Amino acid sequence: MFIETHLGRVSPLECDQLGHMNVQFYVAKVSDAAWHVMASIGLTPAYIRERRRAPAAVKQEVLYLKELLAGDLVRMESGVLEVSERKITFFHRLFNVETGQLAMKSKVYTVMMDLDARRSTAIDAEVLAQARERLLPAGSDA
Amino acid sequence: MTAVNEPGTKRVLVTGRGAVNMADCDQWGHMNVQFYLARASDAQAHLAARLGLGPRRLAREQLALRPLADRTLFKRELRGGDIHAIRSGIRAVHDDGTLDIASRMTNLGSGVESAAFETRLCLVGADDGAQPWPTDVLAAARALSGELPEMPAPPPMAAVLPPGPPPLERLLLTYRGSVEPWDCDADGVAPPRAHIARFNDAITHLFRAMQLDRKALLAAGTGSAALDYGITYHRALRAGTAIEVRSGVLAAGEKLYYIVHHVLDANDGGLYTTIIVAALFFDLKQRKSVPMPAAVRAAVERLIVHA
Repeated sequence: MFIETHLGRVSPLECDQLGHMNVQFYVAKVSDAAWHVMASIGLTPAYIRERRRAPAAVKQEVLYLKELLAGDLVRMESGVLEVSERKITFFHRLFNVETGQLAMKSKVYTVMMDLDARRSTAIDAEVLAQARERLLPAGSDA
Repeated sequence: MTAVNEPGTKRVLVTGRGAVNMADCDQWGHMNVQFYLARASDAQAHLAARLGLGPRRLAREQLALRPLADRTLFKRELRGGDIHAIRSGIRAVHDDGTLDIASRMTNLGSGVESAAFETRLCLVGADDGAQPWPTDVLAAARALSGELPEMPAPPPMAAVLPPGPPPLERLLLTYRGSVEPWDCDADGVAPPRAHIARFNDAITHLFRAMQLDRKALLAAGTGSAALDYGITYHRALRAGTAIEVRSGVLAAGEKLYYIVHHVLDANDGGLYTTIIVAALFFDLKQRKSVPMPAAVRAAVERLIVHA
């Protein structure tokens, strides 16, 4: 299922000489949203600090659909698209709150990482179960 | 994880959702005060959009939202990696065209309220003059306004600021600089965050007068934190303005002490902003408040007499 994972505003600092939000800040907002969607499947800030494991992005696809201007209000929705023993694919979509337009879609492929060994590791069973329970319906990324 | 999707009353809306990045954190290991205010400003913009006054309409109609006063209570620190949400509601719509907005920031990991924001907002035109709210926006604001039982208004701040104009000649010069375009919002005006960033710089210099060195404080395992802000924005501060901050200590108890900062125009001495801060020291390991270090107290008492 989709949940709201970011509610913010485009800062003038995030805009480039073309007069719109620079691509790097779409990714920054996806990164902010990621902590929320991760928490929704049990990967909370406390879990990450205590268990010393978290998903690390290994590949990202981004579709920039509408430009965003300084001051625009944005809302991100996110969910889990796919999950397996070590991998989770998150899907995010960013809307302009005022116009309702879809501004960006992004798919982020992650691998569960052991933060001490700095290597991939298996996803804990309870996290795996929550991720499977909350999977987005097929075709949600269309 | 705490869900903040269904506020207790229909008057309260979710207006912000984000995460704390390491770049938001200061040497005390928690999110710096300026970023609380930045998130509160964004939340107020979301609330205005819910009233029909989104940023593109504001730009089209050459209007801007302008805070007149902010009361901010910092209740629990937020650290890098924490996730939060903000809920907002309208406490009152006043006949003079001002709106009282209440917002609360919650740490979604712990469910604990991190900060409370009480803001008085007005609407201004391109000339900075107050403008009436558009009819549809006013009707929406009135429909949404009223009692906010899950966000009770905080008690007033202690009356520590002496009445009358500030005795600037007796206050310490704690900051001198300028306002730059990158400090400003899309409407060219410095938002609350830019003011707080200056106060954050100023406090380091006030600490010097208090015989305190931030590096030494850190080495001793002691941190400094603000608990309560009372801010008055006297007029809009724009890019290109040369500014100074004058600061003083107003009062001190065993743990809590009060300071004041005034942002002034370096050219004509006119006031832009006044902030009263209630602050304390805390143990960086225990994350609990501690009495003011003994060596600091004499300097503080001397400064109180001076200010």
